[in-house]
Amino acid sequence: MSQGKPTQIRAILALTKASLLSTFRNPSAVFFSFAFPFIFIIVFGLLAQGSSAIDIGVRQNSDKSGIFYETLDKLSQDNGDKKKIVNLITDKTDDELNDQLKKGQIPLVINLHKKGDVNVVDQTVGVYDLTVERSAASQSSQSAETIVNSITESINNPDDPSRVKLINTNVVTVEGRKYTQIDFILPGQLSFALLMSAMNGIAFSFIALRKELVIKRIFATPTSKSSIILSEILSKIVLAVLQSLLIITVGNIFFGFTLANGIWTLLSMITLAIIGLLVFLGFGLLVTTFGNDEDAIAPAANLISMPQLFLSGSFFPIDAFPSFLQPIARILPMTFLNDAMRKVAFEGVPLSDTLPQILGLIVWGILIYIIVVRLFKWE
Amino acid sequence: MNKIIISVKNLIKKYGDFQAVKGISFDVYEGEIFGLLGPNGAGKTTTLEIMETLRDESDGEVTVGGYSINKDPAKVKSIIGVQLQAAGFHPGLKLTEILELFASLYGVRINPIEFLEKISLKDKAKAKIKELSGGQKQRFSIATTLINNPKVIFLDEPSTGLDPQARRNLWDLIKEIRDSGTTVVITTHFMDEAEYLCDRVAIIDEGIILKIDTPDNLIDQLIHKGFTKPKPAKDASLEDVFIDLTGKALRE
Repeated sequence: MSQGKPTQIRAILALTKASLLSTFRNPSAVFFSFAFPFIFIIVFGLLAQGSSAIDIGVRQNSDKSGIFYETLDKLSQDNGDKKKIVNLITDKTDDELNDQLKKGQIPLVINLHKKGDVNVVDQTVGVYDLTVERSAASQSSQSAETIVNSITESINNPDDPSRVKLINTNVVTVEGRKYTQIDFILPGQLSFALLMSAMNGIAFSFIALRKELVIKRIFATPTSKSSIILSEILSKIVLAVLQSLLIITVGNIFFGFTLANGIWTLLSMITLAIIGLLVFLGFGLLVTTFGNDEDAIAPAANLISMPQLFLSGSFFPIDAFPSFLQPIARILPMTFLNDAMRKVAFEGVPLSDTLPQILGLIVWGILIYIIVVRLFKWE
Repeated sequence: MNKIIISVKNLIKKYGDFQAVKGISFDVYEGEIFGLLGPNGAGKTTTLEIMETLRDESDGEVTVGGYSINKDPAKVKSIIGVQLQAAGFHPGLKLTEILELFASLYGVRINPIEFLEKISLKDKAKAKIKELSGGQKQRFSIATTLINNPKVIFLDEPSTGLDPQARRNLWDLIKEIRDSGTTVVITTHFMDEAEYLCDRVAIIDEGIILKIDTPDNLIDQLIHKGFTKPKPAKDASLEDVFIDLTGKALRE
């Protein structure tokens, strides 16, 4: 037996290893960390295929009159049992619309200009030029274009080719990256998986270690308290990196998840995952202060994770929420993480462009850890 | 003269208004098995945990191996071994992994298999703590207190819940540890255990020490006061009968 001076680094690494081994030998932890996200990805991937109104953007300087526009406008309102089939977006600037077209966030943008009037069956009707910009990156641009075409055709009345065409359509295709459902779902699921493993990982495992006197037994060795916390955090980081790698690569290979800049995107996402995880671990540590056993902390854990699960845009776009909820939803830490992940993964922007989101996460992190330091109990 | 390894002076521990330990003083000598005896709630575990640096004292002075428990807790921790009432090990880890973990926490190198061999648990190397019998658990738990080659080990009610065979086996292990030069501080509420194991005992109740002496002297003092057993003791006890009938071998 060689008597050496105990080094905290060796102690941290040994505790990290112990924590990881414990996690990997716990079937439910493995299931929730690695299999669960895919269940959500598949279920919500299928659900999200369901029909909802299709977005059609309208340029700011577009005319908003005439039969064409009125028909389109009618289709954008619920009519008794008939739900609206289009969503007219009229409040976006040209720059915003161009951006969304390129990213495939909006399938179609129209621009209507009145050219003059003609008399048709004793009625004065307008003649319009219609510019249709379709996004090559959107899955629903085809459906949107079909809707627009069916309106123009019914107005132009193709049965009577001699009659003057009331709508002259000019279609422009805007190239962009293809944005699929998985590109929306996967980052949200990744954030959620991180939140769950941070909360369950640190909160429940810490409570269990505290209850089984593991923490106390370690206190009886020359290991410092900060080493114990650091090793817990380190083991959760290792787990989060593995989780992210698995979810992203499986998503990329089997579900067609877009990695705009390949390996760099992957690395950026993992960096974001670690930042997000550190904030979520703060929540997990906070939860441990609510009681001494699993039953006591479970409600607190749910109270923190459930609102984020539903409000952070992991499953549904925040734009779809009632307007009073949107401001709250937008400042949740998981929303910041989701937004940053989506920007990096799909838009291919460098990490530095997600600075606002990262700062948001850091502010949350600081707040949470200030509270944790005040309330945390070792025993 | 015996060398003092633990010195406790006027130790007080308060929990709010309640005084669990009310100014006790005692010394533990190097190489002895020292017993803290007392009913539940007497303050023995509190006293033990203060010596183990796991709990802060409210007042008084405690040194272990010459180091003050509140000025030099890290030094104290490095020369003591601690066994808690419950296991205190990661439930998912194998015995060898737990030993390696604790070796790392103490900054020492050990051979886990050799270590397990010494406590006859080599065949359980790949087992997890929950797969061990009560006696095996306690043997393992006591063995982990020895990883850092400590000067003193603290055992908190180590034989609770064990059958007579496992209990006697554990006593042999504890005596071996003492004979190899390690001081043992033990709490128990089994008087036969204290009588058999301890070189000296302190009897504690309601936070004060009633007596400190060797078990023999304490018994003699009582007899000297004119005490007689209501039923004269025989040369053998029921436990001796039990061991005679079922054999000394461990059941696990």
